[in-house]
Amino acid sequence: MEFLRALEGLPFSEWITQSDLGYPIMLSFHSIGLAAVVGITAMMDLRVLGFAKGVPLSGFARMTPVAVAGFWVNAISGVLLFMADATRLIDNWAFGVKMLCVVVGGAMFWLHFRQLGLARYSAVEVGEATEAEPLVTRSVRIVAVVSLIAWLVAIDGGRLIAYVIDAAELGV
Amino acid sequence: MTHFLLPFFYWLQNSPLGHFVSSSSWVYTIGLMFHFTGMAMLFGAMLVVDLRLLGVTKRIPLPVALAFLPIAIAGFIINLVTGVVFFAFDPLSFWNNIAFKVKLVLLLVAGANALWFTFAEEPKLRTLPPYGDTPSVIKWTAGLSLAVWTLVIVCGRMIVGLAGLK
Repeated sequence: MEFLRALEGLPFSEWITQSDLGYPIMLSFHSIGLAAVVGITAMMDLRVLGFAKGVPLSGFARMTPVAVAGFWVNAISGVLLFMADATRLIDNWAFGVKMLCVVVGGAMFWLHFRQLGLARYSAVEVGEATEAEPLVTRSVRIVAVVSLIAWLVAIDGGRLIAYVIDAAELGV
Repeated sequence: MTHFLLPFFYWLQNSPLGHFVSSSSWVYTIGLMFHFTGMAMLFGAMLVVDLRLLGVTKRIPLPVALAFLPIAIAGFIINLVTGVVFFAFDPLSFWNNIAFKVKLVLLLVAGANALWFTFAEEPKLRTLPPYGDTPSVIKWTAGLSLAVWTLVIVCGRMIVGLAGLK
């Protein structure tokens, strides 16, 4: 607890919690990152599950850097947001659920990248038939379902963090 | 500007919708869950479409990339509906919030850009080589789309920030 309080006392943590724009700026980054990482992974998951079959899965190879960038934006902004509110968040059950889902969602993304062999398409610029399209096996579909559920619950868990904090402070 | 809208704001806040959103803090919380899910749907689908139009993902045949647009439209409708619910909670506070007005203007820009693309540029897509580059007008449309939707997200956060909430 001493350590968590020390994190909250850092100058950047105090800027987040005490300035007018600290939270909105950090949460803006966190929301843009969310939209990028969840948006792209969800579109890939839906494609794996049969939506928009005309879109080749290999086309997602060059979108993965955008999703990975979104993930890192959120890892960094998330750590900074945690540091600013460490003592309240450590006891927040919604925060725990969200972190678990983010780990699962991230793992599913990595699994998809491996299963579909997306790395071999990233260098191919134009749609040359140099590489066959990846196969959508049963396990690829299972990963897509787990991924969709994990990211959906991660978003809802993130929203609940604020609700749990408010409820605790209002004594509800 | 505000005064002639006041009767409408008063009516909305006291309508069944206004009472519903005030009835429990869960309405707003669950509404925000849908709002963020809609955001991810809209932004994710727009990324797939716009990155193709920008020429980043040329393995996707040009007209085929647009198959993701219905998801963007579904996300937009979810967010329009939940947005109206939030607005009914306290119309005047939203209206007096500068970030809310900027967000409305940005939504109009996004809408105009989408209409321009649909009616002026989309018909040309079928005549272009499916794995090739797009003309610069289309690239500008796609870039504008991503820029505006990013700013819409920022404005959403600023509405809450300027209201002194978290």
